[in-house]
Amino acid sequence: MSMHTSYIGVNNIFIRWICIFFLWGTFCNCEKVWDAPPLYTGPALKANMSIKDLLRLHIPNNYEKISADYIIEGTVTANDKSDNFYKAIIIQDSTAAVTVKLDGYNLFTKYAVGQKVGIALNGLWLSDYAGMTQIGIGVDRTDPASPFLLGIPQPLMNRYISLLAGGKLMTPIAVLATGLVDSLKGCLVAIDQLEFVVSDTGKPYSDLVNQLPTSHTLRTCSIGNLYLRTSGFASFGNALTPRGNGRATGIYTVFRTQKQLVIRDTSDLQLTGLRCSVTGPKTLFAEDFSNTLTDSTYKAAGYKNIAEIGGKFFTTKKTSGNNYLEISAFAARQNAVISWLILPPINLDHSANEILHFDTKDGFDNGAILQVMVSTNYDGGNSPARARWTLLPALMAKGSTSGFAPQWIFSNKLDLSKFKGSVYIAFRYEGNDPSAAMGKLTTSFRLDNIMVQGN
Amino acid sequence: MRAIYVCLICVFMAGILRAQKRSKSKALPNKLVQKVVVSEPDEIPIVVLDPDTKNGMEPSFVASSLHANKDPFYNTASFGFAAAGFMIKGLDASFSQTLLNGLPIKSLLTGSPHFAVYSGLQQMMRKTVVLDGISGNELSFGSLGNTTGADIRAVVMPRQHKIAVTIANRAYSHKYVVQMSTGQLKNGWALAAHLNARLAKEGYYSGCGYQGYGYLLSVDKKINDRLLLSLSLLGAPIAAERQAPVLQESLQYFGAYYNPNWGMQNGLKRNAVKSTTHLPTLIFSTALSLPAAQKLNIAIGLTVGVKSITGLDWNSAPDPRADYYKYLPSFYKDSALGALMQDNLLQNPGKGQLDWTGMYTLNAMSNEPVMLSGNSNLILQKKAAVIVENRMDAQQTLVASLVYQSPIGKVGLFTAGINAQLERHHFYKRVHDLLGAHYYVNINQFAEDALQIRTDVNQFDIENPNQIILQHQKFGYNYEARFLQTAAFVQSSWTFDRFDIFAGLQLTGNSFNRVGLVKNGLFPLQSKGASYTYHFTSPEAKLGMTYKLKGRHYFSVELLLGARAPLFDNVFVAPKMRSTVTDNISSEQIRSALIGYQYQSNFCKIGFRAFLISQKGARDVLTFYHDGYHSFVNYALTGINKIMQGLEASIDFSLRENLSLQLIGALGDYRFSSRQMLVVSSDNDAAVLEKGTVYVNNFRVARTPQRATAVNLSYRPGSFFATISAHYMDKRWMLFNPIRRTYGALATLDTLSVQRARITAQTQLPAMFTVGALLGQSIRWYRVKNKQPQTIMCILSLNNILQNSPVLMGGYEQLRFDVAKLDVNKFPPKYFLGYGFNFSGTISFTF
Repeated sequence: MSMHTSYIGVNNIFIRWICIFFLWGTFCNCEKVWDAPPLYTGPALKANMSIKDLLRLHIPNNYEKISADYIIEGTVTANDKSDNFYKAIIIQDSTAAVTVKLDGYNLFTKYAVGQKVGIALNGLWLSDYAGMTQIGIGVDRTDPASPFLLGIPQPLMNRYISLLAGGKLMTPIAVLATGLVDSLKGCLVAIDQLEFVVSDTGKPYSDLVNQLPTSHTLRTCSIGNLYLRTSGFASFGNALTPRGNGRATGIYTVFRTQKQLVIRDTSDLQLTGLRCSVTGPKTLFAEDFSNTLTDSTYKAAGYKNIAEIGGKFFTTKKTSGNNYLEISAFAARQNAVISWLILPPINLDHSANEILHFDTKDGFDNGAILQVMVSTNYDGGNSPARARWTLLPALMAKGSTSGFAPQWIFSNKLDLSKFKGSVYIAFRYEGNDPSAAMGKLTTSFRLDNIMVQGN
Repeated sequence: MRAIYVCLICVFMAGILRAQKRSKSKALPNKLVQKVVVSEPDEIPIVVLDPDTKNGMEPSFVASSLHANKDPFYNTASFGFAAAGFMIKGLDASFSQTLLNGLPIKSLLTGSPHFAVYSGLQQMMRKTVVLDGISGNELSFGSLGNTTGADIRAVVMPRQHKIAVTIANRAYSHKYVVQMSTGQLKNGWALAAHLNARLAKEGYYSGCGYQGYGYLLSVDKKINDRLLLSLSLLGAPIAAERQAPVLQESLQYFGAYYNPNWGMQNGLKRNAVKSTTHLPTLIFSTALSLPAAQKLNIAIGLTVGVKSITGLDWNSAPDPRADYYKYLPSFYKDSALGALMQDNLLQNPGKGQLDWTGMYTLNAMSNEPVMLSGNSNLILQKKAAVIVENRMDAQQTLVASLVYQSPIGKVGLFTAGINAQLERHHFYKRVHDLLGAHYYVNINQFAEDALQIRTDVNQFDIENPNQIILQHQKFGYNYEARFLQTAAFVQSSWTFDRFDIFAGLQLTGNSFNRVGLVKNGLFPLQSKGASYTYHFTSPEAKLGMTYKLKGRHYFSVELLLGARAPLFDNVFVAPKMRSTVTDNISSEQIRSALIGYQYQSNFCKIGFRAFLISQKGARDVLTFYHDGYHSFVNYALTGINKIMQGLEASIDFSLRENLSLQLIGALGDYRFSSRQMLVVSSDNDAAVLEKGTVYVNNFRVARTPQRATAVNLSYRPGSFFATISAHYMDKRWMLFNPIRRTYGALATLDTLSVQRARITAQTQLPAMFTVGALLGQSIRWYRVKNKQPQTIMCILSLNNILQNSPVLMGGYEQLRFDVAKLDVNKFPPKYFLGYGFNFSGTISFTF
């Protein structure tokens, strides 16, 4: 044992060494924390010509290489953020705008809308595509019949384009639809009192499935000569065009002779006002049951009054000179009562911002319900339950357990603007009247003043 | 299956009982095995780049032996030929095994020895046996490749201390070693400890720093003459920055040392790809001597640790990798623009490296403020466009093994063993560095493109939608792979005057499943929860015989018939996203026959082996990023049959007493012997994108040279030694892209067209010729006081002397193929760089 002790004693330093080493190696995983480097700033380019002057250098349908030390400055007004612009950004100064073709993806983080950039033009090329002037880096003449301008590849972007301080969002140039002149080509413009023609409302912006671009016609109240052009790759391509009238902001472009507007995203279209086709709201449907024979099953052209279960129909009634319909499971002696009143089909294609409203009154509330629903695929037959119905969040009368309520309840304005084409509106009653006294759902509902309006 | 286990256990018990009846114990002759305790210096390089990367997309050559064997063929194959990625008999590492103190050190995920556990600790494995193939073997059933059995118990190490310093120009530039061992003390204890540090600011490869440490502590207690208890703790924390495979085109612009993984940041080279590994392992073992020369070895091991590797991830940003194909001049068909790009690269070589400043700038420009829930004061302003992510593999392994040995009369040895291994890997991603931004969002940007009605498809975790991710938080995929392996074997060997015979049976049961920990938006039903558990039972049988003629000539035959379970990663198609599996899951069938001849005389030793190995029904899943699909794409290959046949020869002449000459040759023919079935799918899409036959019958097995020869000349006068070797490695093939050999890819081409031949032909890599030298001098004296020997040893190893710059060690065809234009040059092959001239010099002092 003594030998052992001396052994340890002699080699004490060894063991200490080993312990230190062990701790250092195991616990100090010496991971370097990297300092953030100073951020990239390109050469401080200062414009020595305006974009308007640059555009003057270009002869239509020609390719020019710029071999002078021209520099332009501009603010980014559009990029590839929503993929409606592809491999390109548009920059604008106080005089004009120009498209810069960039051969890369996800340009929008670096060349964000509102970013100020300087472009050293020496070595770059000018050309045009369908009437729009573009800056690129060369010409591909592989197919001599259709040469095209090449975008600046990712690795060369910093060589020509530098980011400048002091950028801010460009204010769109407010113009009249008739005031779109060539000098505004490529510029961010805002046009008031625009709306889509009726046949182009509620349509997808573009065809993402087939990746095809789509043009929709925009017009003011009097003329229709401007197109909204949307790429088949735009991330908002599946969204639907609005119905209303208002301000449209976008890049004004020209495709040969056609004047087009290209938006950055759907927030560029603030078409929320009334359409100009009619003044004020337009009534698409109205019914107050005034000329009906009282106390009979309601029948009228185009209506469906269906007792799905329980044999109870919506019935005409009259109180204090006011005609209305009433439905109740009372005295049905059935475990379930389901009844439908379906209005004649209403076409929503020629209007915008449609709303539905009506009045209800309840009595002897036992818990039965009345619902209002919309369908676009109901076939008009006697089995409405087979169709797909969308329930509307109407305010219905309820809670009058003894007798009828004194007041009619307004349903609130129920938005129908997301539906299009021919729609059916149904009132569906669900209650019961079993022989037992308990658990009966026999509420009576009264319904009146049904109206659908739009503009 | 249970019945077979019961049978095996019965045989096992019978062996024990029978052995106990015989009481005569005598050391058994054991000379038929090529078994040598090695004392070669360990500074001989072992090429280990990364044993765990999959699919050959990065080199993964594990020198399957830890040590040189005195058999000249294995020695040369493990070291000299390794520079070209040589695989003995064409077998990859999964055919080899490593045992520490009798315990198998294996990763069930890769099916291969778990090299990361003992990396850098070879110096403490002096008492190591390297066994070739399936022949009689006291440690285990054996395997077609090598079985390396290292004894790291303190009791087997002599009493000594050692310090050593190495200077090299390899992965590390400096290595320091301190070790001590007490030998067997009188009180029954023995202690051994080892520590090393391998460090490089920048190793052989450009921008690749290295910080590696290794430790081993072994404590033994001899309870009595029959029982020895041992405990070893070992581990190797290593952080290594990586070299990327490169394009030939990049080498033209950026030089032979090009590594696209790094870029300058604040005047320092910062590498985006850094692997960090630390798998501390505790091994408890007992050696119990029973009556009648029976032995029982029990070992239990526990490994708990993490392997991880960093890389770039980006969202709403252009691809930040400098060698992305669209950034290279060759991508531009317009010659003027191509020339402009080329000038730009030649004038600014920094363009070939990562632009860290650009990435920080991009992040700084983002402006998407978010509020963290629960803390309305903290508003995070900047969403990261580019981050450094860390892909984690947190793993735990518990393995237990029991091996029983007993002599059979005077001539035989019976061995039986059972072992069980439980293993778990937790795979997930973490934000490593936000690069100046404030947060990242846990969405799958590549799922955004799909035209689906559901809006949550882009969520990595639909239970926590649009999760804000901060530094070091988890994001992306998150799943576990769980494994269980149980095995039992019995074997016997007999040594007669003229014949040696061995025979054995092994039965292995494997099961594994995937457990998803998050529910992603693309596959809400298949991503979370436990998958079906797959079970495989793999029997193996072996038989061998050696005929000995006059003690000089040895003729041997070895046969093996067996099955192997497929690997987890070759069963699950896209485990990062879902539990979908490949078709027709089954084990692969292995058959092997080997004949050998050995001759020994004072003047020369000749070794000669011919082998034929057939592997049937193997499978593979290859994964790569396809930016056309914006997704990882998986090629699931099934029905892979291979035939490996060849000759191995070595002749060792003792020219004079101190001078020897060795001639080594390996001639192989390793081919695929079937048409494979290919199913192409994407990580982000449940649909099968493509399905078809891959016409690769008779294609060559890639990576390994199929022909290799070497000449070694050794001179050992006294304490000095010098060896000069020359190696020639040829018939090397590039890893091929299966899609280029399908009907679908070639349907539009004429059968005789040149283009068709160019697409389908397999590419051969150039031959390699290397020259190396090993010089050493030892000085030994004895201390006056206690007669303890003291030694100073100097070793200088020089490799690939004729090559100044890195060499093309291997290559692969990119898995993406330009199907539209059938242009093989659009996604040209990538190459692995290997060491050119490299050296290491070591001085060690033992006292």
